[in-house]
Amino acid sequence: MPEPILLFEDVCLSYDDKLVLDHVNLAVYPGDTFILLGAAGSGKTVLLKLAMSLVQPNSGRIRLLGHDITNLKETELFEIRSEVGILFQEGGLFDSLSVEDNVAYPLLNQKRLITGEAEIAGRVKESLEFVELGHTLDKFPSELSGGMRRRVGIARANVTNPKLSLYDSPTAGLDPITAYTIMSLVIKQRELRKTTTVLATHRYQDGTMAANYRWDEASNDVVRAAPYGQYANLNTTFIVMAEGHFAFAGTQQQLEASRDPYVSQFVLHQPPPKIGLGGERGHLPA
Amino acid sequence: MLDYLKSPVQTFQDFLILSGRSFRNVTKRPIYWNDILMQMDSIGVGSLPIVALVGAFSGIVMTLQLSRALATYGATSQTGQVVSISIVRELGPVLTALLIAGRNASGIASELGSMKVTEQIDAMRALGTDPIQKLVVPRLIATAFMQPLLTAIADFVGLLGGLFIAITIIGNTANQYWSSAIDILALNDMVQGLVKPFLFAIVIALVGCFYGMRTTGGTQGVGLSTTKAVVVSSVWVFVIDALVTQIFVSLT
Repeated sequence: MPEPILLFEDVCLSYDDKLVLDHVNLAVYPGDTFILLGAAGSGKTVLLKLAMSLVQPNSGRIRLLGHDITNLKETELFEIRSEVGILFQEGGLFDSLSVEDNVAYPLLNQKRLITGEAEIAGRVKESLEFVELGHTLDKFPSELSGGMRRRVGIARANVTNPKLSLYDSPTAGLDPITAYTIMSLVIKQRELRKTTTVLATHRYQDGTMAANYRWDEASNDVVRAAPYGQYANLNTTFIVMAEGHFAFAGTQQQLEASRDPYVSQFVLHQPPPKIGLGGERGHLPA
Repeated sequence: MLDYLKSPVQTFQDFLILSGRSFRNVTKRPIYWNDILMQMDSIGVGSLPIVALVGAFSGIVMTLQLSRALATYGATSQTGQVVSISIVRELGPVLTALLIAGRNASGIASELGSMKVTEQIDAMRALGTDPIQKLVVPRLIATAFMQPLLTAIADFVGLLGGLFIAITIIGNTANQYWSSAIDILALNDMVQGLVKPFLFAIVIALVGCFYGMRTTGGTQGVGLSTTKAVVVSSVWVFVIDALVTQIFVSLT
C-alpha cells in the first residue's frame, strides 16, 4: 500500500465554541477521487482548507504528501502547498489582476516553480486552453461570467501540475450545462494529468459524473466508463458530511442503498418520505 | 462582566500580533516594490488635493479667528508666529491624519475586507505568498513614508492661507508675516511636526489592514470593518497626539 497523499487523523476544529469538525479521519491515496457531499455548513469547505493548512485544527494530525503539516510555519508550508491545487468556492480570483496574471500567479510566487518568463507564458496559455479559455488572457475577472471565472480558477489551480487537486463547490450556482462543462474539466484534469481529486459539492450529479465518466481524447468529451445501469466507480469514494462528521463513506452503490434519512436526501434530492406517508411523495418509505 | 472585557483585550492582542509580524516583515524578502509604489501613488499622490485644500482652509480660518484676538492686544504683527506654531505642531499633523484615516484607512479596510470575504487572501496563501508581506507591508511602508510629506505640504499650504488673510485683512506685509512665522519655529517644533505624522501613519495603516484582514460575514462585514477602521484609527490619532505632545512639551 503506498503512503496516502492526504491523511486526517482524529481532526477536531471548533470556532467560537461551535464544533465544526468532529474527530474526522480520512485517508486519500494517489489516484483516488473523493466526493464530499453535505449541506451548507457541514464542514466541507473547512475540511479542504485544513488539507492545505489554511486553517489549523484544534487537535489531531494532518499529513499532506508525507509531511506533517499540523504545526508547520507559514513559510515552510509554501513549499508543500505548491504541489496542491485548489479551486475556491467563488473562484477566489484576484480582481486586480488580469486572467493571464491570475493563472501565472502560482508560477511567479512559488519558489519551487519559478522559471523563465517564456516558460511561464507558455504554461499559462496551455492551462487556459485546457479549460478552453485561451482567448481571455487580457480580460479581468469582473468581465467574465460565473462559469468562466470557475474555469479560470481551475486553470490556476492546475497550472502547477499538482499531485492533488481540491475543488470547493465548483458547480455551485451554475446552470446544468455549465456545471457539466466544469465537471468534464475536472475529469479531464484527473485523467490526463493523473491528479488525485477531492471535490466538495452539494450536487449528487457531480459525484455520479466523477465516478462513472472518463475523458475521451478522440471525442474531446467525457464518456461513460460503464454501461448505463452499472457502476464504474473509478476509485471514487463518496463521503456525506453532517455537522462536522462523516455520516457516510463508501462507494456509489452503498450510497444509493443507504436508508439513512439525511444521507439519502443527497441521492433522492428531496427529504426522505415520512413513514406512512411514503406514497404521496412518489418514493417508497424508508 | 469578564466576557464583556475579554473581547476588546483579545482584539488588542490580535492587533499587536499583526503589528509585530508586519514590523518583522518590513526587512524580509521578497520586497514587493511594485505594490509599495502603487500604494504610495494611491495614498500619497491621491490624497494630495484634499490635504492641500483642507490645509489651506485651516490656515485661512485660524488666521481669521486670531485676527480679532490679536488686535485686542495690539499684537497683529505676531500673526505669523501664532499661525505657524499652531499649524506645524498641531493642526497640520492632526488634520492630515484625520483625512488619511478617512480616506485611506477606509480604503485599505474595504479592499482587504473584500479580498477576505471572496477568499482572495486564502488564495494568496495557497499560491505561495504571505498576505502580510504582500498586502500589509506595502501599505505600511507607503503610508509611513507619504504621510510626513503630506503633512509638510499641508503645513506649507496652511501658512500660505494664513499669509493671504494676514495681508488682505490684518494688514501685515509678507515680509513681516514670514519672518515672524519662521523665527518662532524651533527644531523641537519641526521634529514634533514630523514624528507625529510618522506615528499616526503607522497606526492608520495597521488599523486599516487589521480590520480588513479580520472581516467576516460578506459585504455587510466589509462595511462594518471599514467603519471600525476609520473610527478606531481616528481615536488612536488623538491618543497618540496627546502622548507625543506631552513628551515634546516636557523636553523643552
